[in-house]
Amino acid sequence: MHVQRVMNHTGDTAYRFDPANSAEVKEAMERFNELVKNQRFVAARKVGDGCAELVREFDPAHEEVVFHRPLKGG
Amino acid sequence: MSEILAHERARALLLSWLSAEQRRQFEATSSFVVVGSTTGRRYCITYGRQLNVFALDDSGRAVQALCFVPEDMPATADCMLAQKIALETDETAALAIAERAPDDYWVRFWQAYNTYAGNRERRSSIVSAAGTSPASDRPGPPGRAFRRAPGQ
Repeated sequence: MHVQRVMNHTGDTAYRFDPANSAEVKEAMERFNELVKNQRFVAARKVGDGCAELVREFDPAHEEVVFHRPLKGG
Repeated sequence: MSEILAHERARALLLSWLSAEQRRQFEATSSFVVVGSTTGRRYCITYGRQLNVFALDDSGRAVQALCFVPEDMPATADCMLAQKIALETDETAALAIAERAPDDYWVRFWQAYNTYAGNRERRSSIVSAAGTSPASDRPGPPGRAFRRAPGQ
């Protein structure tokens, strides 16, 4: 199972989907687009040991993607 | 209770995203070092949500305190993960939005933090040498690291 983790006041909410299940992939893609394109969330995934990479387009092959709100100066 | 669970969940997520070295640093000092994606400069992200990112010079001394956080201010460890992702993937954008702390403020901040971190590392070494798990010596709630004055 792959997972999309959306940071929020509970820590994060995990949405899991099976990359082999087209219905779940479609739902995951819609969630990605809603968060990134409509709500301006930042999406990132792990690459290698402790390295991060920004994700701008949905890819069902990504095993874990985290989403957080845009950053602002504190 | 739910706030504690949120912090625990965020901490677990952060740990899963850290490199082995960053995880070791975090367990020992509640902070870790990241490398900026553009300049290669190192930054120390300490346990906290505001003014908790320090730009380091080549010798590892802090030269500037920075503040940038997600708009909704999530749990502390989530905030630290967002800061790590920002610096490691788009350092220029992170620096463009970051607030800088006045010098006299962050110098005291950094000294107090180092004192605390050093004490934690020494305690962990002593506990490990005694054969007891240091796992019980976890970071406290947000802000704990900075409540101690230097030398305490």
